[in-house]
Amino acid sequence: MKKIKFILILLFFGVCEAQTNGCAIYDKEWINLFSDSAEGRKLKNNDPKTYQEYKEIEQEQRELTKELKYILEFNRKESLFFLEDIMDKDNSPSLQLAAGPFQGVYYQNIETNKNLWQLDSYDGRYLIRLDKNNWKLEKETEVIYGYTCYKATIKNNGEVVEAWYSPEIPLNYGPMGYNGLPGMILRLTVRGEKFTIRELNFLKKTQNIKVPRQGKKITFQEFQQKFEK
Amino acid sequence: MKKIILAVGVVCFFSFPMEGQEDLKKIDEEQDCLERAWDYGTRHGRGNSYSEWYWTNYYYERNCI
Repeated sequence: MKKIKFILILLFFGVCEAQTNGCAIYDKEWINLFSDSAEGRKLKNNDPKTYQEYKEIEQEQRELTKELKYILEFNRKESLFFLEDIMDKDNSPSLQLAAGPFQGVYYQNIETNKNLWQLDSYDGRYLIRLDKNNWKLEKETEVIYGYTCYKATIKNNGEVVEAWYSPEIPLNYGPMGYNGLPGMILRLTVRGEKFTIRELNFLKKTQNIKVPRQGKKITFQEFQQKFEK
Repeated sequence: MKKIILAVGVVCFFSFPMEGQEDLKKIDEEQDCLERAWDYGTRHGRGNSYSEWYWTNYYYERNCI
């Protein structure tokens, strides 16, 4: 009887450990682009030529974005979120259009509370320290990828970040440096980019995470200030 | 020889202002494009300074260079 208990305990911890390692794949779509906004409709009346030009660029942006695949790798204590390498499109204007400004690599370590964003900008590589997310938990629910998810929001300078997380996956990771919820974020909408999970695979072995180390260390506020000058 | 120099001079006199006008036109076009890039960046940046720079730069590289 003792042996059976011991084996059951081992199996229980084995399953728990297995569900802390893995990889999630997210699709992205652009929502509420300029041509759909009230300001865009105003431009349509005042300057139809410019409006049409923007609309065409945004259509191209939507189409190209369908080709992108975002990956969230995770283990018990760390996660890494990045855009899958597209060799033929690397650094091309098309990729710049589809990927948008907030591209790069996002790293989180829940033991050391590190939340970093590695970005290649015009004057070099940066390692940007991100602030802790102050979520407001809401009661709304929705089933995403077969998991019951709950809504959480952050209000930031008039912009609302919306996340849908599932306590059924007890890992507090998510896309784009947004994390810290009592469950994995399966859908995230931020600055007009909407990420939705497409695939989730758990691994039996430990998922190796490549920690981003290179780049000028700076806070998010300091990085923003560079562009306000 | 004098006639040749005069002919060259006449050609230069009439061609340089033309080139100058073309240069000015080119500068105006570049300036217009830069302004369009600025507007595009401001409209697509959602009030975020980095994002505004990114989209201005994107438009400029796509249409003005």
